[in-house]
Amino acid sequence: MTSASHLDEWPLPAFKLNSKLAIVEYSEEAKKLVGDCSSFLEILDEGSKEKAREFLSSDRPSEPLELNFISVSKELFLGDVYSKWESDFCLNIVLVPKGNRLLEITSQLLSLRTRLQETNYDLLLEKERTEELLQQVRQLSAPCIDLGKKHVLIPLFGDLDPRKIEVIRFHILNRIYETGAETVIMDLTAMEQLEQGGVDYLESLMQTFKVMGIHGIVTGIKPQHALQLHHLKNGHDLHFVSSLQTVLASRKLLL
Amino acid sequence: MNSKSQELADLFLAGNEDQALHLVQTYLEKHTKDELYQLVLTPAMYWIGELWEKNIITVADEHLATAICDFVVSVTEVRRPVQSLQKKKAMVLGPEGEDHYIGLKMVASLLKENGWEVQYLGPNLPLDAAIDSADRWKPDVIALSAALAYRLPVLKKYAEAFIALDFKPTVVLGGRAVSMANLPVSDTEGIIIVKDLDQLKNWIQSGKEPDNDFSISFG
Repeated sequence: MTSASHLDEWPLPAFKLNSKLAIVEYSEEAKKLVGDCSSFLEILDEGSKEKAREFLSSDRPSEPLELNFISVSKELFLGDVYSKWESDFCLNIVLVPKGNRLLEITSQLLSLRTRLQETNYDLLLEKERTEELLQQVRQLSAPCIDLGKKHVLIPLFGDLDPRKIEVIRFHILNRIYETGAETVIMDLTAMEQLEQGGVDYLESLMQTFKVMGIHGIVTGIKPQHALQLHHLKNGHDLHFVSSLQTVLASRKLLL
Repeated sequence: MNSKSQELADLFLAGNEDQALHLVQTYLEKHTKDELYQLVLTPAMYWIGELWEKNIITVADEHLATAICDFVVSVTEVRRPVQSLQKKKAMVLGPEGEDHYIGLKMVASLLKENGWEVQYLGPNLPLDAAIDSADRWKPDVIALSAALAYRLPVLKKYAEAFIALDFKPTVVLGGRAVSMANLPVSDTEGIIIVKDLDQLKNWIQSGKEPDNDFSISFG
């Protein structure tokens, strides 16, 4: 190799190879990048050797050839190789190293996406937990209190919606059956919103009481509930009393 | 390669995650996850590797395709822990220098679906860090994979280091490099070689070593 190669002035790493891909001459830039070496295949990563051999040996139209190189500091870097056979014995090569920026951005995007995916999953778990808690709250919002003398008091808390009644229905009926109660007092004092769907369910619950031979009393109705509830009375063995205290006193359930 | 894999590879390379996911979800209506991994995703990703060797796509394209494939695998993964009486533990990783990790993710997912507790450590893990994690967690199985043939010596080094650990984990080796290797037969106790996900699944479920007509010497 001549000490003052005319490739030295080239702004990019350049090589001259013979037909066996041995390096005959290389530029200053090339030397800086890959160090001293005798064969072009030597400066390639294992996985790129076969590809280089196949593509460089044949004189295919000059699409850039992407290869992985090993730098003088033993680091892998990706580069595009432009090549042209000058004669049967001489192959001119220019190497354009690729910045890693694109790959970095790809991996950053991927990690962002993974994080979104994780968050999504965490949110799903939280949602399921919230549902469970809500279910628990619904169950707890209708305790059955045994007052003795075959009376059971059920104070309803919160909003009355169909889902709540659905959840508490089984629990209530079971408890009433267990205690052998004959009168159930549903107290709505702590009831907030009354949905029409909830009213319908309440009606069917009362219907069930009746079938079980249980007398139902509804107490603690607020004026805003009265309008929605007044039709409940039609055809049912239901009893409305304004305050719970009245009922308890009249039935001598107060201490 | 089948037309589904071809179609999916094209979608991966185009960065079309919506359609890729749609294709995969439609496929899963009539097929199992194992079939998806083994018959569709694996050939699609191998094909993408070949396209680079043929100088048709660039590394950037490969990375995009991998990211989309990763996304699809993650979305279809079973997240709920499978109930199982005795939970076996597996650690899944790729050796240093090996950046191909889709196979590892599929292995982790397969193990999880079979009721295993899995620690996925990802690709390109230095041996020291791997040994350290293994020592702390003491998995029953350590699964390793390599995509490129010249990574086999590193894989061997890792495998030998793992079987020498005092809690004697079983080492499972797989990946494209392993399935394409054609080396003399030799058995080393504690090392299982699986050619593909199907063999892995058989091993998980039956505990029987795959009966390959090739093997890698770890003598």
